[in-house]
Amino acid sequence: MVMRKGLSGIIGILIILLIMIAIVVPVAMIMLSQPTAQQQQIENALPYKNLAQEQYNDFQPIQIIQENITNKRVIITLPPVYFIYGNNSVYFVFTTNISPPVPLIIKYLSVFNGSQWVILNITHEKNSWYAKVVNSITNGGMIISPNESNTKYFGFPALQIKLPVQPYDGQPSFVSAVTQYGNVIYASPSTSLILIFPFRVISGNFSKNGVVSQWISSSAQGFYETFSTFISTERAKITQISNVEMFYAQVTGAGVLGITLEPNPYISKAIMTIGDQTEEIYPSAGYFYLTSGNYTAYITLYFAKPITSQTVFAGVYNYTTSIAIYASSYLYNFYLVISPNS
Amino acid sequence: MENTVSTFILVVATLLIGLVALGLFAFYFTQQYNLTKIQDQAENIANGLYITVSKNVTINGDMSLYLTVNDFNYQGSIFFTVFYVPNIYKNDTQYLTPQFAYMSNGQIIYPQIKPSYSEVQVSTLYYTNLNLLYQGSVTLWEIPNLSSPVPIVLILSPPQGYSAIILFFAQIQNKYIEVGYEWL
Repeated sequence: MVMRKGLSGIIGILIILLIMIAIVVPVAMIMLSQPTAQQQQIENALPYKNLAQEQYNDFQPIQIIQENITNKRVIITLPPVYFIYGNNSVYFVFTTNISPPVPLIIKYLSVFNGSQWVILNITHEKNSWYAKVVNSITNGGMIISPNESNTKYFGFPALQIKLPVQPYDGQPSFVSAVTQYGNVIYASPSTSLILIFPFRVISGNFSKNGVVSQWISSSAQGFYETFSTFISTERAKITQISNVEMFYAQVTGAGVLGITLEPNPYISKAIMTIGDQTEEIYPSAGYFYLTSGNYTAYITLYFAKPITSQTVFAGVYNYTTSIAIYASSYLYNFYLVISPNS
Repeated sequence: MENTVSTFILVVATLLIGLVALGLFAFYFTQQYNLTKIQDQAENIANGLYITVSKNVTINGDMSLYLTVNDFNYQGSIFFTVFYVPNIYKNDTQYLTPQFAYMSNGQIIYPQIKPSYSEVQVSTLYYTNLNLLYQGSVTLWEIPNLSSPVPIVLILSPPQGYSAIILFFAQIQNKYIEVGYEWL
């Protein structure tokens, strides 16, 4: 009987197997965990991309509702920041006096000069911002916030940057800004500025001028205006007010309401909407074919010349009617005081 | 006694074979692991890439535009190349290689690029999954730092029936790996 000493072959192989498993399993685990780590990176980048997309919205219009003590309400559509080209400069105009919701840093400006886009760096010298043509890319940038504003643009705090290169044909759309996320924003012409120019009706009233039996006046105090759209305006001047609620009417029976304004030097054209009918009522009268029901009349006034300062509009409606109308506001006159916000 | 010796030799031989197998296995695994790592890195960069192309203005047949490059996962250097590809390939991503680029006298024709970036001549390009994208001489331009969005100004004059495309590459362990592209 010989006693065998040392490892048997099988045990040796088993040991090797154990060693291999001890190495292979952790390695395999590491490799398998890699996609998870990578997935995390994708998710990591996502919020930034969302934020970058959201930044574009800061240049999109938002709604602001201003209310004053006499229950007058003006709804204005404004973007938080306006990017404007004019006077050989670009302006970032802050319409609400607050910083854009997504912090805005402008890294570069770019101007198409007729043959190519020229990249400009922004520098700060002698309390003034300048844009300079660059040949190499630097890591500059300017925080766009009302605190940094260096000028006023039609009463709004604004940041002005002078441009060393002017766009081809003087076109504002050939001026653009690159934000910290790489978003590209194009300038608007200064003539569109009125889109951001709020005005308010500081008082309004109808005064009764004669009574016709069909018309029953209510005790409503003044009236309620809603200014919702501003179109076709030029350079910080109000040329039009749109869709002002003028009166509420209850109609019994069916018939025709003819309505116009008395001659008024400020008004070039007026359009009224009652129900689904829209008619020009000034300078010549408009006629509405009404049946029984409740109606609201809206008026849009086009001014003969743009309004730049506080102006009082007063006018008288002339009407003919073949139906019974009970209006909940005085119909005859209108009286508006409009003041550009300064 | 002889039996013990032979068993001992057998165990040693098994151990040796095991070690060699383990060595080979470890070598293979290291390689694979490394490739996976490169691939992951490239995919990271690709996922974070954010490109915006400006308005394209055409005057006298030349198109001028600029694009901004930013990466939310990566701050290092990035490479790009721009060339013209026939429009018919526009809908098929497998043709987005310099192999189908517009050439003159065997040379790829590149658009004008501003500001001046340093150039590198490269012979091999890879896809993100490390498959071969292109083999042959191609010029890449280097953006040294992505820490803020970099505007690349291009003046394109594509031949009739061609469109420009820009490809972006990251250099990982001396491999140029595609991380993004954009039709211009």
